[in-house]
Amino acid sequence: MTDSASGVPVVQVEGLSKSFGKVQVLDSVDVSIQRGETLVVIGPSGSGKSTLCRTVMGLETFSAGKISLKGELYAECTDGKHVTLGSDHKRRRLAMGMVFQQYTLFPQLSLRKNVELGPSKVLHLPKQVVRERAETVLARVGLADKIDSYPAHLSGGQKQRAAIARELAMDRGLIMFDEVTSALDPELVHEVLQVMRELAEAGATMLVVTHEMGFARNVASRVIFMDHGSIVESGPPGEILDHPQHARTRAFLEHIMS
Amino acid sequence: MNVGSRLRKSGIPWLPILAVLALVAGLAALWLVLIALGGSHSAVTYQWDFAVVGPYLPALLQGLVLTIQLTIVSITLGMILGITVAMARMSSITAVRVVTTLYIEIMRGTPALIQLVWVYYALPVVTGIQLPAFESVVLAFTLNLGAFYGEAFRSGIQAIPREQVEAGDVLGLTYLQRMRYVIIPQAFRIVLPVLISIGISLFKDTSLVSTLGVADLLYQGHLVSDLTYRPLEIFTTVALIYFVVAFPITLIMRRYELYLHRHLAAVK
Repeated sequence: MTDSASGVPVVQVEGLSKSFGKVQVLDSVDVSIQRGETLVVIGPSGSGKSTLCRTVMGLETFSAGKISLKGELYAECTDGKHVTLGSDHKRRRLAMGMVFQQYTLFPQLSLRKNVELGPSKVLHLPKQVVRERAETVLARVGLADKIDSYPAHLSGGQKQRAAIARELAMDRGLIMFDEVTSALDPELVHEVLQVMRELAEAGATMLVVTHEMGFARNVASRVIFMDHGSIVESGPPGEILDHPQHARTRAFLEHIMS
Repeated sequence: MNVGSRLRKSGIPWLPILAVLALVAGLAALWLVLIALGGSHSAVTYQWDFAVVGPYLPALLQGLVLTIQLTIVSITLGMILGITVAMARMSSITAVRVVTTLYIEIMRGTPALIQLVWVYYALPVVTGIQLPAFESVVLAFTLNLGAFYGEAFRSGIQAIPREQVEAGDVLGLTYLQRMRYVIIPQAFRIVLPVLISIGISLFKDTSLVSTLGVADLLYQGHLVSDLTYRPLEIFTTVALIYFVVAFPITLIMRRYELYLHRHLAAVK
């Protein structure tokens, strides 16, 4: 299930390190994501999960390491200060996207306009294609009837599904989900996870940072446990969640399950 | 069901209309009382005669047209300049920031009348360019508004949550696209009340141009007052005209603001 046909990872992170002052937020992290994989990252808050997402996305700088997209250099830091951008950097926007914990829909735009913005202004697709794509992706997340609504009129779960639709409309190789259910009321979590689950089953490549152990167990192709900025262990969900090798993983799982 | 909600349901903006009518009626009543008092037992023996205004009303309204033109052109240009100023004020280049801040502080810290005089009289002396009066005062007001709108826009832009900017970035929008599609539309709504009050101040401040011989509403008022020897009636009428234009704008904008708040509440 984890093995993918193509050998070149969609994203490969090697020796990624980052520090805020004296705090080491990422400590030589190595991760690679294969096409079609759902990689779930778990770990206590402050373990560097979100920072990993944000750094790969290019929202944060880093102090050592290398990030490659489909085998081509995207960003690298060798001297501890300056991040050198590979020739692939500009293609980042075509290669991956991200859904945030906070609902980041644009409040002044209807759902349709929110979803159409990227395809029309970034991808420069023809108007008709953009319109159809907006309708398709909103239907896919179950919001076809809300296409003309504004974000302020939606529930948290609907907003988050719309944010996923906006990302889907860009049709990029990798989607990162940065604790997308953490700000939701408990009864709204399920509808968002359901959409993500359907995406995973449809073969999307995803990196999911989450505290939802049920999702990790049922949907992940691989689970990574992070603590203090480094990867403690990784493997199939059954292995990590039921038979963790490290004491820190066991302590975290016991804490979160209790 | 109370009266307010019934009125709101009708779809016609009755409340502002009623408010204006009530105010006008109130002012009229006040005048009647003053006239009555003046006529009976006070030392003031001035006989109010608003009938003299009638024939000169077209002349005053002609001045009003110019005042409105001046206001609209200056606000439009001032807003465009203001957006540029806001972006320059937040520039990462220190020199740009310093020069912009200096410009803003000079414009905010000196009287508008002196700015008008500078552009109208001093600019030709320094540069040799003599602009026609209307263009000259438009330039002065645009420079003045650019500073005020610039600061308003800056505060609005800085009030936008960082995640909004990041979401635009992740989507793949360039800096200018993020400004245009994400940041400025939201900043505009946040600072709308400030923009309106700056605009209404300007509408009244355009009366300063009468001192430069530009035939605006106040200038026409001066002319008519000199012709009729009735300054009290004329200037009262002029003030009333300013008020009748400015007040409904405040009310309409306040309604628009409520509408925005209902539909586009900040995403939390």
